[in-house]
Amino acid sequence: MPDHSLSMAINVEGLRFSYDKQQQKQGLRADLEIGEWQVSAGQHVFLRGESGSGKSTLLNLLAGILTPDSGSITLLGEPVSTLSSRKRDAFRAKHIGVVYQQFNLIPFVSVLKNVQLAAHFGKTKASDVGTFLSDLFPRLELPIECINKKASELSVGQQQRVAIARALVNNPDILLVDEPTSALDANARDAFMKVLIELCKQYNTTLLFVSHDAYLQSYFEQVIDMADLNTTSNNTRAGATS
Amino acid sequence: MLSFAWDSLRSRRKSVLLTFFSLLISISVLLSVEHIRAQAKDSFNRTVSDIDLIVGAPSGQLNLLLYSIFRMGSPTNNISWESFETISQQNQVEWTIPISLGDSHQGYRVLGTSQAYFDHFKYGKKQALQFSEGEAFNSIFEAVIGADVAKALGYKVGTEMVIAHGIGSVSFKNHDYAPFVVTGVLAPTGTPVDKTVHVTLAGIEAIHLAPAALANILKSQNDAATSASLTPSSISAVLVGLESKMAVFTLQRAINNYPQDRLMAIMPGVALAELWQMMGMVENVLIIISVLVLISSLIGLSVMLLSSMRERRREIAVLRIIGASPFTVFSLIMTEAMLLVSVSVLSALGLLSLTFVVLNDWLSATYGLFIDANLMTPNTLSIAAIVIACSAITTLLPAIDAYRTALQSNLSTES
Repeated sequence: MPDHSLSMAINVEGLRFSYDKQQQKQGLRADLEIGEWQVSAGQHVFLRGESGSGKSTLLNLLAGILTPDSGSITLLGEPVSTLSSRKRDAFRAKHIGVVYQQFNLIPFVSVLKNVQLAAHFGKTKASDVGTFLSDLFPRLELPIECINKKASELSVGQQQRVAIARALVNNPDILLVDEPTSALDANARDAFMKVLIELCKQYNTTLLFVSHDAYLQSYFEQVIDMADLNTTSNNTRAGATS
Repeated sequence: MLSFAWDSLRSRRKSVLLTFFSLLISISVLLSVEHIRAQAKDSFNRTVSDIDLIVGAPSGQLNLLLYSIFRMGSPTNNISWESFETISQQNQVEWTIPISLGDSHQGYRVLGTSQAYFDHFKYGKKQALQFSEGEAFNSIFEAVIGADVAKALGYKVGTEMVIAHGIGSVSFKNHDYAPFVVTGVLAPTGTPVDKTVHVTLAGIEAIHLAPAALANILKSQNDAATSASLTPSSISAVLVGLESKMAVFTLQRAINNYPQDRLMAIMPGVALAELWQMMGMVENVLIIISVLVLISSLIGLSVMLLSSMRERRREIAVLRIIGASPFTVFSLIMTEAMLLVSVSVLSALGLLSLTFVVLNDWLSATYGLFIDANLMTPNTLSIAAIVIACSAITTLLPAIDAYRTALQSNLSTES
């Protein structure tokens, strides 16, 4: 394995994806096209783009929930796009944490169980979850009592912070975050961002943060515009108008 | 996984509860129909054993079987005492039991018979009757009661009882002048014998005499001469045991063609077979209906799971991002359904056991059905297994739907 791929958390080459497979066959434009793109391990990247610019599609591809029509995605040196779906699911469970806009948690089970479930798929011992949460909750400014509450009983802001804990429980190498603050007010948003960046530093996690909110880019060392990344003609135009 | 499925079911309590009741009812119906069917057959078949022929007045063979053995319905006509004696004297005949019916005591049938009844009557697997207390009657106004009669009425050896004419539980024509004394209580048999009061044929004759004649007899009780004068002129039926089973057809034909009296001889086995043939139709209809009910509630289960799929889209998306494979989502739905069905099956078994324990007496008293409350027979268990297998098949539909949802689910559930 070449050296540079080890330090590369994300490596995308010649990626092409369309939701409409018929359109793909006819050789018409794709929904997402990326020539070449790398993120090195431990970097915090802000990916800015309007809705419809393909950023959620990109996250789905990186998470291995969607597979590219052509091209390759290599994560941590593992060619994820060519793995079997079972292996991809296992890889995601172990190496990738995901926080998205809303509804990150299963509403009818307790917070603890939500995190334990993620731990179960990531092969982390359920007994470690308790200590993990009691360490993390004060820092997320969550009262420790709420681990036994149902997820649906928490406020949206609390749910989003629990989602960070859930995403970090397996000590993932890559954290994919999609518009996590859109349902939060300004204060909650700042608190959320601070603790997120802090934790990613502490866990040495590569962070890919997707948002349309340019205000948030001040937290990041690297900012990429989705319009520059996605070479589909449609999106270049959308990027130009914004 | 199991506890997660349980939580998931609990979160949709209302629809799950309704589905549970629908399953509970349909599984109970299916199991009870099947159990009663098997038990009824069993209890009917065990009622009569080792009796080769039943002889009575010509009617249907079922009718004769029902009143002589099951104490259901009433004898249409009687046969003469001479016929009984003739039959008893046949070469091939080993023993005969005379039976005289038509009276009751507090709703329990009274059967006039002879000592031969206690010597030769058999039930189940050729088991003879046994006394749990006392002994057989040996004079006119003595009675032997079945186990259920003793239990229900609290009678013991020595208790005096009055026998009423007719077979209702309330009779206005009580034969008050003729009290019978209990001399024996039979051990439980699980057959109509338990519900019967046995007296002598002479006793039956005596209570039907005019009051004056009866008073005379009461005065001179146990007199050999009076016993002789009370020899009945007719009886309801005769149970016949043969020395050789080979003779049964010859004797049956001979009896059916007996010129001095109108007689009919039946073989209990043949009559029972005819009974089952008749019941077979009803049984099949009942089973088909209960299977249809079950199918409809399994469809209900499937519909419940399918309609929950829309609200579960997010839940499935969450499971997917934390690394659950589509197959895990599939098996989650299966687990939920199996959990629900298993709980329903167990509840149905519990409910039915309880119901049969409670209704046991009523069923045996009213319909002569002796139903074992123990449902853990191979028969019921295999039906339970089939139910679970069928629900697994019907759940495939929503589970596959969930699998597809899981495959297509992605993070953009922003809408």
